Amino acid sequence: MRRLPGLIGSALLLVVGVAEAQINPIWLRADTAAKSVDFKLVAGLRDLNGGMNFNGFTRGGLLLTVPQGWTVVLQFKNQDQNLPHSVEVIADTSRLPVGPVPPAFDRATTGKLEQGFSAGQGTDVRFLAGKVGSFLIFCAVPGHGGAGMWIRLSISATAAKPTLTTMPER
Amino acid sequence: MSSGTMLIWVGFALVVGTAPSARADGHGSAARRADRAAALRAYESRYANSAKSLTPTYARQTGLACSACHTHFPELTATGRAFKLNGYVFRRSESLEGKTPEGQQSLLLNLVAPVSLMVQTSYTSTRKALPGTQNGVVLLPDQLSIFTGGEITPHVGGFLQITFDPQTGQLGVDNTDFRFATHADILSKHTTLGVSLNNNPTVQDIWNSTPAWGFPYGSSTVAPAPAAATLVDGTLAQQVAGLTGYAMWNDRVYGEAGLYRSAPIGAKRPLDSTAVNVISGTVPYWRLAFPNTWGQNYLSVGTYGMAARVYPTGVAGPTNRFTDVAVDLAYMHSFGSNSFTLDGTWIHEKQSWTAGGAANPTNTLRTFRLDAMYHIGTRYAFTVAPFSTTGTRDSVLYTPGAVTGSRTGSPDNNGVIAEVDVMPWQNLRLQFQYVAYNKFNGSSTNYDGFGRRASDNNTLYILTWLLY
Repeated sequence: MRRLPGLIGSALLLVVGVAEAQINPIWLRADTAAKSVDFKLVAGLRDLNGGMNFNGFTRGGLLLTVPQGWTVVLQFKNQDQNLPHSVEVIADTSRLPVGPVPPAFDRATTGKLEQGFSAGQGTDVRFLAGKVGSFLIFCAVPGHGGAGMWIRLSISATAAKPTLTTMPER
Repeated sequence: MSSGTMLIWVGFALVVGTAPSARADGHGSAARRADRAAALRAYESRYANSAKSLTPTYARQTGLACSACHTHFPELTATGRAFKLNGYVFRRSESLEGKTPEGQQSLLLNLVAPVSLMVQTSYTSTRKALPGTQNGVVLLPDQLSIFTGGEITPHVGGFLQITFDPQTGQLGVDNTDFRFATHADILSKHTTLGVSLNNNPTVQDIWNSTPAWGFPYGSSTVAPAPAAATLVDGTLAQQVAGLTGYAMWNDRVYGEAGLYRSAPIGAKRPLDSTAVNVISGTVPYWRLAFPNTWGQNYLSVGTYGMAARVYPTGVAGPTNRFTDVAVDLAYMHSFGSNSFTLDGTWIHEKQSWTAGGAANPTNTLRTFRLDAMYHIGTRYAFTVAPFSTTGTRDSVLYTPGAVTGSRTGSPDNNGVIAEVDVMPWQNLRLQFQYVAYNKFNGSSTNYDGFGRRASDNNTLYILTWLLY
């Protein structure tokens, strides 16, 4: 009987830690000659935030930096088994919208913004990074972006090539 | 009640925070359930008894606001449909995880108690008072429900509603849906597979175009309601238990099939010669839907139905047969933060009265409903909803009787519902509903044989609906 509490204790473990997200180099592929960058953007890559993450990052924890004038191709795919997701690039704001808003660049959306893409579905988002500034890559399915499903995009006048870096979450 | 008194009451109701008529499905009271059972021959109307609900239990589990899953509860968004389809298991709240000594997960409990409460308070006024009664009925509460559910294991979740009916003083099991869901690739496409155990055909459906979660979401339980209703249109709610299997393939094709068997709540078991309206064997249920999204549009068209053989009394002998075939559509168009939704269904029922109980050997009953709703953000919604029922005249099924009867023996009714909803908070709704009848139980004038007009039943229904 004395062993029973120990067995129960070992059987009931409270999970308190979450594995650290890491950048995978294959996510980013740049063509300097063509001034084009492909970014594999995966919704629900991990279980973090109930699957509401891009490439395992939430709340601005990942920053994609692109030189101004380059063509950006977001190769979006939803791997979240539970929820639909979509993508649009919006202006940086501290007051995150509830759902879709006009994109910051022409054609910088996946479409189906409210309904989203279900598991296994995806599409490419291609747009010209024509203006310098800070932007958000944002899930526009209502409630998802506000729940933290967004990462950062910076269009830089000085960067020589695209980069991916981690950032403190907001 | 004067308009001033009414305004005071509405203000009071707002402060107290209650709402509509209730039933998170309108099937709350035992008396009403008994009426429903008796009504396999004809009676019951969703317009009289509809009250549907959702639960903040899921908001607490998912960490998402109500508006992530509902345009206007209980109408579901894409996220809401996915959450239900996948077994109510999506979770962002903290959980207690248990593992075996071998490291295998054996327990996953939500640290937030999966319980929420719904309180509804209402005011009902008909154009002409029911004979011998006081018009202007205030119900406080109109309905009181406790919800529980959500994730039970990583693939199993549920929805359970316990409802208190203040008119009978009884507490009972209301809508119930427990399900298992998993995923697979079929023909190289993502497929969600699941099984639902539920007590109301269509309560497991993920669209708001089918009866259990269709409009109106809250309606008066004290106003007169048209007599006739088809079997799949709420008549079997809480009278059966069913097991259905479903699959959503590539988010484009949904199929479901299952069986229901009599399991009336509050009846003595096993069912015997004293029972009424018991199903012979099981009732097959089927559902097929084809959702699609383009631009800012979402459309699902589908069909559903069931076929039942029912003993009028007891559990043996001849049966009456009811076969329901229905089509439905659910449409949504987004205008930024605003949206327009359209839900509708048409149900055709063929009735064969082999065991008696009707004047004709066979009858038909057809119900049509459509609701067009414009949502302004999450705060306002405006709805227009025409409805119509037509069917075979039958002097035994639809007999004359004050208020609820039919002079002509006809089940026909039609009219329109206009509704304005104000939601100062996502979990608090003020509902202003007016139901106008053009025809009621077969006629526009003297429909009951006692001089009552259909328009005398026009109903103003004001509701406060609080969920927390």
